[in-house]
Amino acid sequence: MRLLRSRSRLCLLAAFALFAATLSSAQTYHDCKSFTENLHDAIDCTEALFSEAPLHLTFSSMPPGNGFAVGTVLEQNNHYVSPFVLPRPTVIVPGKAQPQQPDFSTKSVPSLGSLWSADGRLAAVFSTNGSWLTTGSLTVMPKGYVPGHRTDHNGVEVDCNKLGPLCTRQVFGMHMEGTHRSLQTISFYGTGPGSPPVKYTFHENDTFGSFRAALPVVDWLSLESGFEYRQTDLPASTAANSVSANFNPATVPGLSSQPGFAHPYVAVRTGPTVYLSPKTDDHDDNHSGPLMKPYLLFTFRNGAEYHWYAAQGDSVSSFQQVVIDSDENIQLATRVRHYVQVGDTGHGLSRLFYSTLARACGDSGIDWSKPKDYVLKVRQPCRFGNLDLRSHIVASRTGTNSAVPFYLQPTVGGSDIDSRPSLRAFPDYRFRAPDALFVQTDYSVPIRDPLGLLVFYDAGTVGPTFSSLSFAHLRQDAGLGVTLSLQGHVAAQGYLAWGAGHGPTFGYNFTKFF
Amino acid sequence: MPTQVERLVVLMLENRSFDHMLGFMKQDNPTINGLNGDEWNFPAEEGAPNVTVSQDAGDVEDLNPDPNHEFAHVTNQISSTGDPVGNPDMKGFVRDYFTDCHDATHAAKIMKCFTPETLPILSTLAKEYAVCDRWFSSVPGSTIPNRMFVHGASSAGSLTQDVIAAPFALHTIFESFDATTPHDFAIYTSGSSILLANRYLLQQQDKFHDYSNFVFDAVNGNLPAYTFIEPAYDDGDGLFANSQHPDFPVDRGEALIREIYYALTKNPDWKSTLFLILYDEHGGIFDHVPPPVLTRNPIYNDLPDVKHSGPPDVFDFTRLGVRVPAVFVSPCIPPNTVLNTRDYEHSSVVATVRKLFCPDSQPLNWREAQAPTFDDVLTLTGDSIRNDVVELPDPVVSAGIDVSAGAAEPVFRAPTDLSVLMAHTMEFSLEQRGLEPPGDFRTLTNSAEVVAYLQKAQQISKAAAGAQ
Repeated sequence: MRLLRSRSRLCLLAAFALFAATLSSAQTYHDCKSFTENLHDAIDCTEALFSEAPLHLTFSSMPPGNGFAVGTVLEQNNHYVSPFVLPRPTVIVPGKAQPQQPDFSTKSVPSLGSLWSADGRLAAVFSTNGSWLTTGSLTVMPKGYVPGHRTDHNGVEVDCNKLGPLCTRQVFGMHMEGTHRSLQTISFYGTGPGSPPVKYTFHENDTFGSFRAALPVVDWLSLESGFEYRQTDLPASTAANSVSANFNPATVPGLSSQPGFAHPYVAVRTGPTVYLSPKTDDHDDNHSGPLMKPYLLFTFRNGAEYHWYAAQGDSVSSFQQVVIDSDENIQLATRVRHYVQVGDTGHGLSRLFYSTLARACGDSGIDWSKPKDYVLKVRQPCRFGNLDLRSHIVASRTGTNSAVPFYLQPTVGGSDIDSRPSLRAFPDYRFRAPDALFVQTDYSVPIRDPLGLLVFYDAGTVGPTFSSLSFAHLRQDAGLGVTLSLQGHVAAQGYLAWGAGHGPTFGYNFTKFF
Repeated sequence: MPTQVERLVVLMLENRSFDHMLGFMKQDNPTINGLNGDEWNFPAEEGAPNVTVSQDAGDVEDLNPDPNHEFAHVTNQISSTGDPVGNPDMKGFVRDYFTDCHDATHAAKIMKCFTPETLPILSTLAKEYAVCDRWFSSVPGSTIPNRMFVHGASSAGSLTQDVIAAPFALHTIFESFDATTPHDFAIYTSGSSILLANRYLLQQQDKFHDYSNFVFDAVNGNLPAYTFIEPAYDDGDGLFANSQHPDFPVDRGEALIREIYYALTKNPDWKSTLFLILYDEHGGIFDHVPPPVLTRNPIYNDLPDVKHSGPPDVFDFTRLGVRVPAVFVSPCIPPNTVLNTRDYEHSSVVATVRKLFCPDSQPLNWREAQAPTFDDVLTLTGDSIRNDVVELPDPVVSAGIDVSAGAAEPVFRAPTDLSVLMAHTMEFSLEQRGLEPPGDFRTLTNSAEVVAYLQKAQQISKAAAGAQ
């Protein structure tokens, strides 16, 4: 998940509420007619202002460190049939352990001549620190796919979109995008894993245009390639804490001049989803044997990319990069295999255990004074949270006497310029170098919909070469917090993290919108 | 002692009469009260020859416009003299359809019937397991009252399709699956169901499951004691209607039946499972068996009456509707079984579910108490229980409209009356709960919009239920 991070406590509640709005779809501007009549309509109206297509407000998408951003979005709704839309994870909702499948049909995708138009967006966002961003994108898919069917590994016939031998849910697509952003404050702490915790800043202007094409080969494997041209400008500053006033180009490559980059890439992405639920013969009169059986959903999202960055007229800045991302998710759920009555639950901790279990299994309103009443019923679905294992590896190659410009180097700490969280106890962009890696483990469990509990562990480091990434420089942190889920997604999180050596750090994240 | 039914799975499809679907099975099995081929109806126009049943029912196109099947029309269909009580002659179907389509030739299509060759999946299951030729719809009327009867042995006083408040108010068998019984239920839908608008079930959203997960759950032994399956009622959101409601393709419903059957045969509990395929009402289509009249048994006088309908069609619900197909599928049923000794109706589902899974609870009313149960149809026991899985053929597409072809240029149909009604009902029920509907149902212009509306309405229900 791509996340933004900030330390503004005052913004936390507003950010959660407003972001919740951006993912909700059930509210409409119709609710605003009765805005002043009751709190419910006021909340619905607020949500509609941040979600109703085609025109609505947004507050996210500014890289971290650039204040609180608000903007407007003109968009055409996403269609899951597009290969650039991350399919909504199949979700096991608490007490409703039946995953809802997204729609992969082309039936409702608008036409644009001989193309399908899957996704279009124009947006402008302005931030409290003077940063701003404007972007436009369009995804099109050549027609030619026809509705078809195939038999999946369970022997069940499923729908797909057919093109010759291909029979996939998502279809071949092309994505065009143009963006300009002006970022007033990007943090810089020097380069390398041992850089001191002294914060400097720089101002970055980026303009880039890109074209991408993706071909799903099977549902869990797609090939992608693209070309981007990007131009970065780092205006010099005489401020006391500015990078340009404190560093020189010899130690910070790219500081004195910023060439345009021609940037082609190729990528392979995987995303299989696997259920694990053993076939069992359970009976309603079971009162012994195992209490539960697993009902697990694994989602493995992995990607390997190779990038060529060819600096225009400045060969010392050209480089290549291998990026490997992984995000393995396990939704932990079970099915009850033998019943439990109130009389079986005992007292004290035992009763607490079963009442907690009953809530995980979607039951409420049990009368604990009736010993014969059923607390758990056979085959009842129960949910126990979500385990997420993520990693991100960047390895850069340069020619002799070449160097990766510092503003294109990966960062670890807080969140990076793409709003990806790494070491949550550390400041944004804390460690920077041509090579980097981090791993994360998150465990979140619903407490009371939509709130959940979060426990996490992060580890990461950077280095001038890939071989220099060692445990000796590994930074670690851990923490706990609260999540806000909407429609089964963790949409935002607030947390306390330890590990930076200066006590707990409070922070919050919310999903990047675009 | 029959085998105990431990799993009951009910699929209720739409608007087809027994003779229309299975009547010509009589030619292979004379014990079935089906068609000889010479059954007839009065013609649409005076002087024209009588209209005889035929074996050329098509997958689509025969029944457009949708034949009338409201109370007054059913009266005219089953009795050419307008007297539905006694022994109605069942000879007014063509004339009644003529009042709808105004085309004498087209009106005669109400007599068209399928054969085992043109309806291979339902017919094969009926032959290989059991067919009931005396299952009547509960109400001589339309879809919604009959669908309410299959859940509550009552339509909450509603006799017509213009029913908005009744699904919300209805008490159903699902309320009996409380903490006093170890058994549970599940309702699989494709986004539409009158049950979603029910007062009790609005707060039981965890019991609703998307049909796309049915096969997985069936194969892996995750089905509860009682499973009710709703077909897709309308096109939209990547779905195609498979309810078999005229004039949606019959073959899609056949494919649904086949998918459910194969999934259930892989269920670990298959040998104690009963799969019941049922139709809500006859849809205005010809059947030759007069519906029975009910007389309340005095021993049930202490049970609640079913709420009567008010003007203009005052009705006390003592007369059943037209016969509908009912096929019982289980490895504990021998081939070529014909169930014809009891007059089943949709209240039989409520009564059977209660007897099997909620025996300590009380019947909802006299209709339920009086309805015959089918808990004893699993007559094979022990080693005689069948191990075979019947091989089902592909559905027959007879009439040339492939709704999946040309999907690259989607054109959504006008929504059906039923799906608009469901949207209206959902709007009403959400308002009753103090929830804001997802919009004004009257602004919905096509089937996809209705499907999307119903999905949003369910999201609102779920959110509200989760917040409590």
